[in-house]
Amino acid sequence: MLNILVVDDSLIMRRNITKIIESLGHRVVGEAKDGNEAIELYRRLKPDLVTMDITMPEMDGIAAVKELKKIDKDAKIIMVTSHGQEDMVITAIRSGASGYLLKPINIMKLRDSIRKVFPHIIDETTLAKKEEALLENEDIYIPEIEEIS
Amino acid sequence: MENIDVLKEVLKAIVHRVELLLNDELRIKTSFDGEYRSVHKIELKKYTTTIGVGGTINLLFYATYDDLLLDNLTKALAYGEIKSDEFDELRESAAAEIANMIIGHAVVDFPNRGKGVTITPPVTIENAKSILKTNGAGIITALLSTPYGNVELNVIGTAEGEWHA
Repeated sequence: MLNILVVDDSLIMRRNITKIIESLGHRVVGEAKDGNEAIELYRRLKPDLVTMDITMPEMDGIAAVKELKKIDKDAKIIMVTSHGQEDMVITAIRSGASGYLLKPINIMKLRDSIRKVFPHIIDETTLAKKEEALLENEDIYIPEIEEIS
Repeated sequence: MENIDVLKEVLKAIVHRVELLLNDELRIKTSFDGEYRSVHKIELKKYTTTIGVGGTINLLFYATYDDLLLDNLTKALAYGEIKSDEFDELRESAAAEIANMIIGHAVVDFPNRGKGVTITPPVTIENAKSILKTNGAGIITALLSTPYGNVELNVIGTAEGEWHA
């Protein structure tokens, strides 16, 4: 399970991303509305991962990534934005972001992005698949036991 | 390219992105009659969001939603049950964010792939009634229908002259 900080000036997007993170079995340790809040919360909470909106008031996401990288060069940050312009993607990655997501976010997009940053992490959807696989195996295995007995 | 043609091209890009966003991402089926109308007045619904587009082209974008459609868009974005006391605030935020996504996604389809285009933050207007055309302005509108009502998409800009877009 990862501890994640969600940064977005939009209330509906903070809610959207938080709910998806929780449904993946990770924990949202904090929410920030701009880059300044994000830096303050990062120092205090030391999350494993940050989802960072690009366009925000006060301090935008690109500036916030640069600051976070100064605080912690290993900080893992996934940029989240509404804008599909290539130059923005390049700027975000050059600033130190580990990944990039185009809004709206859904469970598959976020799960895949998290897996790229943390290849060995196990989330709820992975566990559900493993449980399904186990149940399928049980279906095969149980009749064999009955035959023996 | 003449300004009025730029306005139409921009609106076409916007309509395309709204169709993709609603149909593919938010699972709300849309239908569009294919008409881009030049009008003198926009009748606004209860919730309208506006975004300014500047730089190489200059125009205002207005998206005005039927209540039920906006409620369903809010639910789709909120990802889970919404308490009644938080719905109004989430709906206002959803109206703004959806317009932001629409323009953000559409920019790459603007003339010259949107190079040099800047976008203002979205502003949501509640309970406004109408926008009237003034001298020199052009208003182009497109209407998309869904099972939950309509969203009307409008662009307003200088009709005459030529942008170097």
